[in-house]
Amino acid sequence: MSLLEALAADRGGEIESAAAQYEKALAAGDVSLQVLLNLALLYWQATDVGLAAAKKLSPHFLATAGRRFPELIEEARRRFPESTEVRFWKRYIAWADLGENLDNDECRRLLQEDPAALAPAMHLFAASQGHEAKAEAHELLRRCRDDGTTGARYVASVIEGVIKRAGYRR
Amino acid sequence: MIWLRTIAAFAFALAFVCQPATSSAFVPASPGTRVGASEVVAGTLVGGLGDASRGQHQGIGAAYDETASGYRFAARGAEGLAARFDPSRAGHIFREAAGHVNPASAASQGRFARLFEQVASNPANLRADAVQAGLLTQQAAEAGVQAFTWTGRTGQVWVTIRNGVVQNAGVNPLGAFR
Repeated sequence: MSLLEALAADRGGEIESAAAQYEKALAAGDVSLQVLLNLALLYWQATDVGLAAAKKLSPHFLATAGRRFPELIEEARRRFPESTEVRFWKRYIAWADLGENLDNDECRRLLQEDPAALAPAMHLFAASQGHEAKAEAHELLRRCRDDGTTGARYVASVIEGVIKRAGYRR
Repeated sequence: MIWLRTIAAFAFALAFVCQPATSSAFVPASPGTRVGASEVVAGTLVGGLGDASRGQHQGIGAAYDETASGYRFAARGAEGLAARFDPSRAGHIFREAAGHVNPASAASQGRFARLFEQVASNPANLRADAVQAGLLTQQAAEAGVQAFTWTGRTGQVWVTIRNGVVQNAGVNPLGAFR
């Protein structure tokens, strides 16, 4: 039940409740890629100043979030070493938070390695101002709108922003 | 020009009052005309930042006139800025999400980018309490990320930087300051 409750809370924007339910699911042994990534991205987004302020997240929760998201990404990488999505998010978060290098060629390779895992298309689409990986990004946007979790909402907002900016450049 | 300043202040306040809490509250008329309240904020808060005269700024925004540092932002040129906005990070920064802005035009985006640079270039805006205030995680602070905020009457501009580059930024509405 924890996972269903976690997904419902996550889709409802109840950050702290969703995190607690995902943690319960993990503790109960549901260490799936979906749970690890959903929770990692939820914690990561919880540390965004805008989201943390809007949701009035407590300093205690933010401290937990800041400590947990790298742990969860590492756990996902250890358990699912073949996952290109995990590799992508590890690099992308370092780029987003710290300005570390994120090579577009690496994103292309990840997308080529597993064409079904579309997360790298978000960055290629954004970095090229909407010119590269257009079909993949639109498919990813469709999936993320359907998914509705915190991580998916982040991806959708990035892609939608790129589409909007491409519109006013024309 | 008190009447002009009053109108600007009213528009600025109205923008934040009308700003939705969630992205779903925006109803696009069409992809090209999707405009959030943040557009009004941008126009009012920063106006013709960087290329407007002192006199113009006195009439543009109460937000810029209300503190001396804010006014200096408006008057200073780009050469004085310590923080730099990297356009390749626009996708992460400019988007429809709580506490972020999603400009409707290139000009508006440029004004916000300049505002973020200016807020993060003023040492008076540095938040020494960033971790305690929930602006940064301990890990980010240890990695060298710094947080800056500048609070106007109706909104809080927040910017995080590392190595002089804006990493993330946005505007928190009333009731959601950090």
